[in-house]
Amino acid sequence: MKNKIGVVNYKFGNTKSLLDALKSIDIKFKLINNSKDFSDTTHIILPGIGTFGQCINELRKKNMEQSLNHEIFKKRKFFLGICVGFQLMFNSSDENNSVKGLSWFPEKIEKMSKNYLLPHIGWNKVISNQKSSLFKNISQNSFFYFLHSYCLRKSKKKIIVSNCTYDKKFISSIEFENLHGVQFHPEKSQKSGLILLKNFSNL
Amino acid sequence: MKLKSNKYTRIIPVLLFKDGRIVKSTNFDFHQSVGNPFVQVERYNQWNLDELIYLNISDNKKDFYFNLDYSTTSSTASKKNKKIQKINVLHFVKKLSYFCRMPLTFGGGIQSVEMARKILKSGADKISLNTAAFKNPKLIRDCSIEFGSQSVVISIDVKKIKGQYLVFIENGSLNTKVKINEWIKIVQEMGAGEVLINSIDHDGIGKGFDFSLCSQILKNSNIPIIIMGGAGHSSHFSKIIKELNPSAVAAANIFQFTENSYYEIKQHLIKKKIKIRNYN
Repeated sequence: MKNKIGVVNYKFGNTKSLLDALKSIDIKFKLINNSKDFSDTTHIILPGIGTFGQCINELRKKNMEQSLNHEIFKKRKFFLGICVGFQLMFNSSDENNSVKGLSWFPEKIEKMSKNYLLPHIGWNKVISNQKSSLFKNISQNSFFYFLHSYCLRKSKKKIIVSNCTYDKKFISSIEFENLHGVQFHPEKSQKSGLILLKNFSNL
Repeated sequence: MKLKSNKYTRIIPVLLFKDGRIVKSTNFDFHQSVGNPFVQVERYNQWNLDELIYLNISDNKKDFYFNLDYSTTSSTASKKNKKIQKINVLHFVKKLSYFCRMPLTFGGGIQSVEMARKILKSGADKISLNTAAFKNPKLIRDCSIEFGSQSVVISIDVKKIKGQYLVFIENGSLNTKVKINEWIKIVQEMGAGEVLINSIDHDGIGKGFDFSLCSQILKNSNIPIIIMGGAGHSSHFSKIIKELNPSAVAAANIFQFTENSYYEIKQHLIKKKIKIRNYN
């Protein structure tokens, strides 16, 4: 079966850049506007721009939480969360303490140090686990494009596949079974980003 | 307190777009057509840029006549030619961003939050505000609340008059008589994410950046500053980064007229042990 990525389309995803990137490397995709749209997909990408609270509320308003859980845990589809889409995989965030995320992992997303210019914006070096499936064919210390003020600091070691340092070291991507998440924007990270998206789509 | 920031200095090509063509500018006065707006972006994308800034300095900023065939100039060709089409700025940004696997800043003619939203939706990652922000500083605040400060770049054109750096608006044609540091202070208070400083005196000359302007601004600001105007040689980049360390350095002409210039400038900076994003 040919792989097809479903890109979750909601108000707070900058989906155009992502779709343009997927097009440029001939990856098949479709936009997911409601839970029915998942049917013919093998992979799911959840983008996200804006605040943690805005994003999760919008997802819930569209009744996407249940369908995501179903597609990922029942149907075992491959999932990639990008930026806030990655942060939503966790339990909560300093950004909006009153809301819960998708809570697939128990950790909390933390605010980065106020002694540093925030957001952390621009290219930064990513130290990756070379066994990771996302970083296949991407050389160590490659640069990726970041844009965020909150980050994941601590997590179970076995899910961490890359780290980056801004104010302090933080976790820039995770992998666990069919779940993947990246804090940076692969769709804006030139060649390295395109390789990563390609790797994901080939899972 | 001065806040710490990203240690990798960005090198940013700027494309100036006027009435359907990419143009070269000298002291903001002289505009010479140098190429097709999409071909240039495609070429730049292949160069693996850190970022791209695209400024629309056309007189009519909403619609322009444009040759979709790429080959002839729209200024000389007849509008009756059916290849010449009217293209709306939003459609234009959509087409541009299609080629961009890097952060794209688009500026020119954005006067409202609504327009900014449309430009961002069309695929730009950041918007650049200049004249409209000066006339209505609240626009900066509204945009940064709405889209986050990281998406709001304030572009400022500066000219030295009687020893003072003053802000110019309307594509550099109107002297506001406001001192640069006063305006930057307001811009920061309003929540701008970055400031792009363009020296009108150094624009298009290729003799190097304006050091005294740059050091004055860096001393008085705590948001990322992009310095532009005057780059003509690799050493101009290394000199200003080593001495003043701005967040980013931008240039237009050198990247259009010198083959391999982006790659060569980066190689030069690596040789000088300056921290930049390298390619691997």
